[in-house]
Amino acid sequence: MARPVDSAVAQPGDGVLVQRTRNGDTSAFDALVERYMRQAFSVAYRLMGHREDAEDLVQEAFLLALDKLDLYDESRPFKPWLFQVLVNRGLDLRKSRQRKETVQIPGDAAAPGPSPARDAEQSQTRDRVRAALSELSERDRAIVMLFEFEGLNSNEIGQVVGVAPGTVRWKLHQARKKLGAALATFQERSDR
Amino acid sequence: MSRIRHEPTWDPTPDPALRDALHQAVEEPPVADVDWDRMRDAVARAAASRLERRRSTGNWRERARRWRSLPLAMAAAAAMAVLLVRGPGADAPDTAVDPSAAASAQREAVAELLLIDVSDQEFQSMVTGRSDAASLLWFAVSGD
Repeated sequence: MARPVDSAVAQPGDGVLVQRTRNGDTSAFDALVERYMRQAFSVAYRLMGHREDAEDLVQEAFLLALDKLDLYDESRPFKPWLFQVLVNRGLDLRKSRQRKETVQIPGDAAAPGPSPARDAEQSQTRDRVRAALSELSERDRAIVMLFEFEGLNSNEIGQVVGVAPGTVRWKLHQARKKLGAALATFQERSDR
Repeated sequence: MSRIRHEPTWDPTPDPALRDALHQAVEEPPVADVDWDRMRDAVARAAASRLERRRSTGNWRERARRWRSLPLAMAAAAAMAVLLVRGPGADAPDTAVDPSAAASAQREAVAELLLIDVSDQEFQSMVTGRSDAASLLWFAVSGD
């Protein structure tokens, strides 16, 4: 059933694939899945913090997107719309599960440092940044992740999380201030 | 409601130190551990019946989708027709309220709506949810 897509062949744009999927074209839907599943997984993983949860979320998001495809406005880019479906569903899932841990920032537990001192320093930086991230709301953290890791701009992020681009920029500005302050505090301590 | 903030008009420039710290703090997604074929197959299997349904109802769905935007287009056309017949300088409907004061209040209401933190959809819903939609439309098209 899996059909690897040959990257040497020019692929139709998202709009064409969406149109064909609307009419029930299986290969068009497969092509959309193939095109976005990896990036969707990255976003899902950063949202959920677990590989299995992220995989489930990606599958669910593609099916939800298929169900809602008639609501998609073709004049806007498809990727932010797909990610909007994914992020909203992910935030709902997190809320409904009400996990004890307030934040599950995916940690890098097994990565050894080059030296004990350097390792300790990196570990402290990680803790500080994670603490600062955990102070952000789920949605604000998603905004930071989408900007810093997925390379989306404020317009695209605005579509994903359902706020105006100006609000995204404002939230990024605020988040950076918090994260920057956490890093500065750490550096001040290290300098003493 | 009158929260005023100065939103940046451009995206932040990349901060290498901050980005580096974030990359240290947040683990990269384990893309190598994912069985992409299995995921692709699972999605395709679950989507098969939905796509089949779309094939059988494709024409109806497409027609319904097109018709959904018709009321909006008709409303816009009606507003344009009223403007053409009455002219942009024509008097607003008779009310006991001073027209210039009403227009000023409407302008302030719209300005406040623009300042608050809402999505496009929320904004539209707030605007269309107003009881005084006719005069808001008048304000939008006539500017006074």
